[in-house]
Amino acid sequence: MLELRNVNKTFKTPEGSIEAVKDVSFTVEPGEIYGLIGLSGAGKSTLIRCINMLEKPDSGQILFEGEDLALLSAKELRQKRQQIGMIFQHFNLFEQKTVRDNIAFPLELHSKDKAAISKRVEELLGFVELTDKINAYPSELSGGQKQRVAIARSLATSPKLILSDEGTSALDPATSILILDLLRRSVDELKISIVMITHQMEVARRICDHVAVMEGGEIIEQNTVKGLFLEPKHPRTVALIRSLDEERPLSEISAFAKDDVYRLGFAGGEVSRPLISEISRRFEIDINLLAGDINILQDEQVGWLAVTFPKDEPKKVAAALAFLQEKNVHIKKIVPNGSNTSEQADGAENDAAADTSDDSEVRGGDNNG
Amino acid sequence: MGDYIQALNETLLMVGVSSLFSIAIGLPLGIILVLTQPNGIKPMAGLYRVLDIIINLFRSLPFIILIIVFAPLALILTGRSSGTLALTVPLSLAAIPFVARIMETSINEVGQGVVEAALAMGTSIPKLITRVLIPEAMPALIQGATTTIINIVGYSAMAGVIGGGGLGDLAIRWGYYNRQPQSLLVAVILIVILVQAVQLAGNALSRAIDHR
Repeated sequence: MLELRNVNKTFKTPEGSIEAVKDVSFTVEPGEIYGLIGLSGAGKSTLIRCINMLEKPDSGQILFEGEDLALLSAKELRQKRQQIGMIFQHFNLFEQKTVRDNIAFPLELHSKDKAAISKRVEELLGFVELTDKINAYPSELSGGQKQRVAIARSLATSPKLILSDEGTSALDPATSILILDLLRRSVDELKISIVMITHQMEVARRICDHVAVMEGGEIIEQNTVKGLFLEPKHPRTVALIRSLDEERPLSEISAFAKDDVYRLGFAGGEVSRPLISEISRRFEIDINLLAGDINILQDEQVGWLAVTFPKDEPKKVAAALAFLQEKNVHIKKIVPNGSNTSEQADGAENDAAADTSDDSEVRGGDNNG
Repeated sequence: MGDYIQALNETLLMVGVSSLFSIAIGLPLGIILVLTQPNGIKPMAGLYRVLDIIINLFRSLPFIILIIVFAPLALILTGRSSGTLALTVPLSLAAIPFVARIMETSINEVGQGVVEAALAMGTSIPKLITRVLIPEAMPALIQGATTTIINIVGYSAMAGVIGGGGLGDLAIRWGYYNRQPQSLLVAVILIVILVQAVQLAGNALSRAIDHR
């Protein structure tokens, strides 16, 4: 339904030109949520604005339902934009208009049928569960409520595609989840597609079907969300996922552990199997659990555990690790901070992690997985 | 007493007519400045620069010079080259560039994001102006209009010097030249009350319609 072919965008500044988007191509299928992730300055914002021509690409094609948007006249483009909704990090509601008038705005641009517009507004407010706020002004709403109004507004003209520009980045985690669920519901019930840009891995992980990782204006890797998180291929993708994920606290934990620390990664069915107690019994070793987490990648559970194995039983440990490997567990030995070379992970945007003391990422030694 | 009322009427006429014209012309100019500025919605470097220079030029001309230079224009437009009505021409001309700047600043305060959202919905530029920029900037526009009117009150008092009439004229002629300090005092008090009334009304209106 949407296809980008070799899109380029360069900005000319007094200091020289910046290639914001470099030769980007990807395809969004009907009914899917396509995530563009990357740190700030990666070109995500420019790219998403190229899709609805808020930024005119220098070259390349933006095919929306087979039609190249770059070739449309100004009037045709305005009409096409009704089929492409957009939501923003800071909601961008009209502050001097009520919730009703905000949602009615895109409808009033092209219709004078007041009764039909009112009916549609009520319908949309019901969908986003804000019927009681119809006469409120945006300043009277919470962040999450504002974004719900913005979503209702973006859905008003029954678009086929929604662009989300960091739609949950300004919201607290609990509210983010509600908004993401609402977007997922929009896709499922209204059969639309979403292209969303985010720097939050949690967001991509929670609702995206496909994910593309952007860096320096280019897509360095694209895959299904499962494929990307389970087997990131590009080293920068690995760094990005790790930097936004568990690796940093893990390296800190391992600094205090007396025994060797391993990270065990589970996917799918292995999450629910009692593997730890199984190897503990079978190989007669004591396993100490340090940390762990389970995430849901779409409908599949993915988890990891940080454990220590006793140093004085190398044979038993080796056997246990071999057993785990057989069960498709990804195994990685964690080396404490400072004892090996570390790679700088640019986590500047990841304010949620708030780990300002140490920005380095420790790479494990023997990666058996 | 009758003199004061007549003077007040003259002031109100000068201020009213000039405010109306300066806002009617200055607001569209301000909008053009916003749209055509380098990072605006329709950047037009040439037009923007020409307007910018003209506005700065007019703002730097002393008001008294404007009165003299535009006396012929006033004659054409009002049939008089001096008097209360004639003075509304230089008063408007002095206020237009001021209004344009104030409106430009107010409209620029409408968030870039809000404009972007409107454009992303397929809003045309005329509708963007009438349904987004002006309504969203309205509280600031009213504040700007208030400041404009108060400035015109000040200028109109000065205009009295060359036979424009009004409270300023009365204060100078009767109060100063004829040594009637009480006339001067009354005229000044009336001006102060007028300015205060405009400011209070402007503030109240601006606050009443601001939903931020």
